Amino acid sequence: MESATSRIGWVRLAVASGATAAGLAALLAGAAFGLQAVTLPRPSPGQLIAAQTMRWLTGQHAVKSVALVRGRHVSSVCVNATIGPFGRTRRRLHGSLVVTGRRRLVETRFASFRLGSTLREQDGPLPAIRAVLAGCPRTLERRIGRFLDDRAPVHAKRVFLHGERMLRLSFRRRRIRLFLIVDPRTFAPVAVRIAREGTDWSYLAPAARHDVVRSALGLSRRLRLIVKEDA
Amino acid sequence: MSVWLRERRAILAAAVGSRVLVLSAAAADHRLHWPRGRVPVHGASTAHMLSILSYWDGVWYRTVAEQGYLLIPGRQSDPAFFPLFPIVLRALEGFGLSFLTTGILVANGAFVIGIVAFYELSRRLMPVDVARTSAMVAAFFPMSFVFSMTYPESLVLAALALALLFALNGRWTLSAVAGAAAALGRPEAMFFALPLAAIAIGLGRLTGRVGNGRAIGAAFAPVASIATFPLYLGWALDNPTAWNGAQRAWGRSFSVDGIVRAFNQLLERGQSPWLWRDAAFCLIYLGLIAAAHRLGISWPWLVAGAALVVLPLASGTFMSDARFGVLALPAYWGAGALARRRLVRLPLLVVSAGLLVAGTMTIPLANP
Repeated sequence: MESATSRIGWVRLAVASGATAAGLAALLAGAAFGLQAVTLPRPSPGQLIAAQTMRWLTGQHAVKSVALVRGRHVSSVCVNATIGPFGRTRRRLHGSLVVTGRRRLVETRFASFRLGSTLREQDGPLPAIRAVLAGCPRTLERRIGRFLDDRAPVHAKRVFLHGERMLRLSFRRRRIRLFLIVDPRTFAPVAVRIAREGTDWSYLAPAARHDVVRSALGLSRRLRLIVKEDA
Repeated sequence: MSVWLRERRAILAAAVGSRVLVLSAAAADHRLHWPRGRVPVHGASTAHMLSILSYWDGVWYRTVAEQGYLLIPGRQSDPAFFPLFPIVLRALEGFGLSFLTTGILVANGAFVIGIVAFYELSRRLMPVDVARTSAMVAAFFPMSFVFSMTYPESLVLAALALALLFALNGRWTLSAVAGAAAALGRPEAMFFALPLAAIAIGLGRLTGRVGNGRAIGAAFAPVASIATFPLYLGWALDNPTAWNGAQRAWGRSFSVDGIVRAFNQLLERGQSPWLWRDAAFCLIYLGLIAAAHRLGISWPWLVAGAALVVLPLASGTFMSDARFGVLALPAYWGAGALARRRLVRLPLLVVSAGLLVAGTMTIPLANP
């Protein structure tokens, strides 16, 4: 009889202790969460959408685009590629291979190269702008990433494109501006524009395998050893 | 009060004196424009006399305080950094000081409190002379310059020491609050749930009150507090796994073979030679924790200290292990036991102080 009473006492004590422990831990957890929620600012919806677009871009291998240049439709395909080997360490650089008609351009974080029968380095901002307008996943990702690194304001606005509801993101950092139209369901960019004289919207879509195969044919055997499409 | 202060005069002098050394070394770096060349961290301030103390992760903590978190896929971003330090910076924004000045004041103020609390904690566990030496070694420890940087380490040191001290005094609610704060500063604080639980069980046995709910709650507080960070990231960024994503972009991904990868990375060509500093300190911490075992420190403390040093290696790198280890409290007890004799203590403190100055002056060269 006494042992049964003592067992009930133990159970009561255990339940009471467990409840007190859980209550104290929950109270502190609630306070910790509240502290974070109240004190730290949240990113803007535009910045969150831009981050989702970057996530979509990291999963892409190739993108095709159509832009209106001097009244003509110009199509490009951009594929993730590596270029090299460079230097003593024989490192290969990750970059993008942009194929526009017969013109081929390799754009990396450090330098850009025009591919002809040989490889020629190209100076100035133009190659990077071409790569952005071609929707190159790596270049576009880098460009958006720079805005987000500096926490540049990103304005999101609902727009209609070809009768479909889309989101227009406007990035601004000092005098540099970038506009993106993204699909609100997948966050895939469907159009891009750089605020620069003479540039218009460029319309983007993920490239199919046959687009990529067709574009790779233009490289000579020698260049194919230097510029390799990412597996 | 004056008796209390007189008893702790040496400890306070060590804590303040070591900070004077660190701040002077940082100011000397600035004055001498050393090392020359570009600032190693994008976005770091260079105008402030103590600006090197805000380099590296300090820039990220400032960004979180100013702008909040944002996970940028495929790039190094700030959800890798725990929120306590940015919360404190933001809370003190109203005083009108810059984030850099506030950060340095908070870090150094918390360090002095942390060293005194650590001394009080040590006194409860070991002879007074060992406790005093341990606190002095902690103050002048070569890597202790990170306690003066705009990093959360000093806040976590203070919160951890107070959590454990309150627990030993049976002040469970205060212990739970301090433990939760520590875990919100650095995830490694979670390991000290183990000694907290051991204290709760030990005191329960002693007093016959086995089922003290608040004591158990205090042991769980660090874990509960850590769990709120992914919840917050889920709420703010719609991504509760943002911390893991950011860690991957920083080159850290936890796996079973992580420790092997960490050793392989040491031997890779082209790796930063500063990795060897981290590896050397990892060994020193483990050696000192072993010395603490000989002092009679019980295993929950030793396991917590060792886990704090060894588990980060599972992310595949030794990088920053020297910094992570500054919170391994049992290592200081081991050092205190080894340097108990004046003949050893004095040279050790002098060498430590020299290395502390060297460590501070080389902050621009490598991320601690």
